[in-house]
Amino acid sequence: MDKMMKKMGMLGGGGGKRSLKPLAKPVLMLIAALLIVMAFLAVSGYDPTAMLIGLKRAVTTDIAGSIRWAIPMLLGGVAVCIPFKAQAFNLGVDGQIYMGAVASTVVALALPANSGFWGLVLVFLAGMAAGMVYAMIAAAMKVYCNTDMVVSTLLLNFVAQLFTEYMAADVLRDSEATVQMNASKLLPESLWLPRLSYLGPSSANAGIYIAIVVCLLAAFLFYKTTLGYEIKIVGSNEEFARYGGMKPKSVILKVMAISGAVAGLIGVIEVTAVQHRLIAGFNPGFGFDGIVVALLANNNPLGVLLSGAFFGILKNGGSNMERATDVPQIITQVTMAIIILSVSSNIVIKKIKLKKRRAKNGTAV
Amino acid sequence: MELLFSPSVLASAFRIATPLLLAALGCILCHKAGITNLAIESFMLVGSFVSIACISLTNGSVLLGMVAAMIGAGVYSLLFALAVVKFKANHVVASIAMNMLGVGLTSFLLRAVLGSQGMIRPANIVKIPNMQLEALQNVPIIGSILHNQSFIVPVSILLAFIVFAILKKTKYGLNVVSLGESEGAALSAGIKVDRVKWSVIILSGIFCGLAGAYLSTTILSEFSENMVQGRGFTAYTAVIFGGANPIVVWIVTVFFGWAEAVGVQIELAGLGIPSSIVKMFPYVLAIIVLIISSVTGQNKDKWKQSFADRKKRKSVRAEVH
Repeated sequence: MDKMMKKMGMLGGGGGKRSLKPLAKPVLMLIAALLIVMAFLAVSGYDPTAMLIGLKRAVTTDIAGSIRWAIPMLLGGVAVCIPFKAQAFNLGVDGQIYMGAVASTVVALALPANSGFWGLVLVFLAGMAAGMVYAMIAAAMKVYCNTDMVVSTLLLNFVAQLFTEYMAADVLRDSEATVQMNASKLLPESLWLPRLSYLGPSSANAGIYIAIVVCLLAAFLFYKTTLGYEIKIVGSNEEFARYGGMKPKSVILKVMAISGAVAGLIGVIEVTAVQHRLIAGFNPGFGFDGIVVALLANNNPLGVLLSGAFFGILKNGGSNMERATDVPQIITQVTMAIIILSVSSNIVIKKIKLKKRRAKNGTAV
Repeated sequence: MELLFSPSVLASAFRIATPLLLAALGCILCHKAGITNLAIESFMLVGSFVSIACISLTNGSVLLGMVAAMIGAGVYSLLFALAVVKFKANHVVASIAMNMLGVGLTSFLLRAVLGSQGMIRPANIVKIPNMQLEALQNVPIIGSILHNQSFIVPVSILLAFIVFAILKKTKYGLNVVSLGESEGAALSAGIKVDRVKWSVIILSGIFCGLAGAYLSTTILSEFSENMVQGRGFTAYTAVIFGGANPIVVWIVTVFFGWAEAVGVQIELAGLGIPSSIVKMFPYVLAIIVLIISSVTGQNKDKWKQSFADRKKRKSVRAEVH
């Protein structure tokens, strides 16, 4: 038992080391992925430097666009990494984003037009609550019925997407719109989340501050609270967690609730700051992007700050690339997929080494 | 009632179930070998794309497109096998990466190779005529299911039985099953574990390639971005619910197909239910099925456990006496 405690302590207290070494591997992976994609572009007859042109624009002239895309990346990364740490896969972030957006739109359209700051707070709370409830459905199915959360969250995504379509196109539809589109009425202007006006006209908005605060809060949760410790233990050894008097089931419910609330936040920000209305299919898969962000950050919320910012730039670089050259933007998704493939292959090699070490220790005892 | 069980609903149930079944068959092999393969979603997408690309670049033969799709998706599945078997990547994470890559790659190639955006509908497509089974036409249920249907439908059902036989009767099938039950035991029994894993993943790629080709060339005769729309996940659910038994899984896929067919009928009947709500029906059904299967699976495990306990207690008691 003592030995186990020591081992857990070793696993739990690893966050103390602060050096640049853990950054080396992800950066190497990123460069490798970019090189592969550039080679791929060259083979298929495009200009391989197009990617770099787009990225350069994203960090110089169009930094506002990068901030706009970094917001969902950062929040998505946090939403994925919290349950990931407890070994629970929340692949339903996309669905929770949709539900958050729907709930916030419903509340915003129901509130009086001049409800101002407190109205906006209410809209945010509604969106977060909806995301939370939707995530809890999958979590409850996992905890009480032992369903595979991977499949349930994936299926719930489709339900949420179709529900959003229904709400935007049927229930909340703008009946005065001249052009038929699957979108709700415009939100009252007092409920718009302010944009960053000092960056010129763009979609960059105050959501970036919220996203950064959420990342810091998640780091605080992981490294300074009891729940954070429980998450770590449940994630590394559920049996041991149970033995130590923790309730893995309640931990799963809690992490999914937090994750869903953060995901709902993405929906609220997309509605109140970017689109100003609910549009069917407004979400280009931020949840899956969040998985890439969290993986590259190795589930560290402070790492999410870096990787989220990078993917914001990459995403914006993609759209800039399409504008500047004729290379389709979708290539950024290929880049992301290559990054996950290489990073996930890498992570588990480490785990196997750990297992081997454990096995050795086991025979020694 | 007429709406739920009319011959046309049954026929379209089988039509819709066919790609699900084909994808599920590949998934069953992987599942039996202990590999969580959610990448079947993208294998299907790649199959759809390759078949349409092959058709629009050549003389429009659907059969050639199908063969190309099976090869294309098989090659694409090598990447998943590389990540999962060789580099021991997490199955779920690697599946997600493959799915992202599939969407990205097919959309990119759609523009780069075929020069069109969003979707393509090859004008030169020469469809394989549906089976005209005059003799069976008057047989009540089978007639309405098989008459005027693509030949892939009976082929897929036949394949389900073949996979069943392979898993139960052949040495290869037993290797796959024993690998899934305990990798260590399989290894010590001299089974070439990695080779079996590679083979099941490639087979799932080939099956899914055919599924995707059927979807794009026979049901729709077009390719559009991300056209698989979660059918791979539905197939995976069917595998879980069917306990990875090919015959049971076949019935489950027909059930899912029936749900979608009824949805289409409801939409056509114009009952005033919005189409997005109707489209939700198969997914909600899949979720309910998933809950039921996991609850019953849990109980089965508990029952097995208690049975084993009782046996143990009995033997202990026998020893004591």
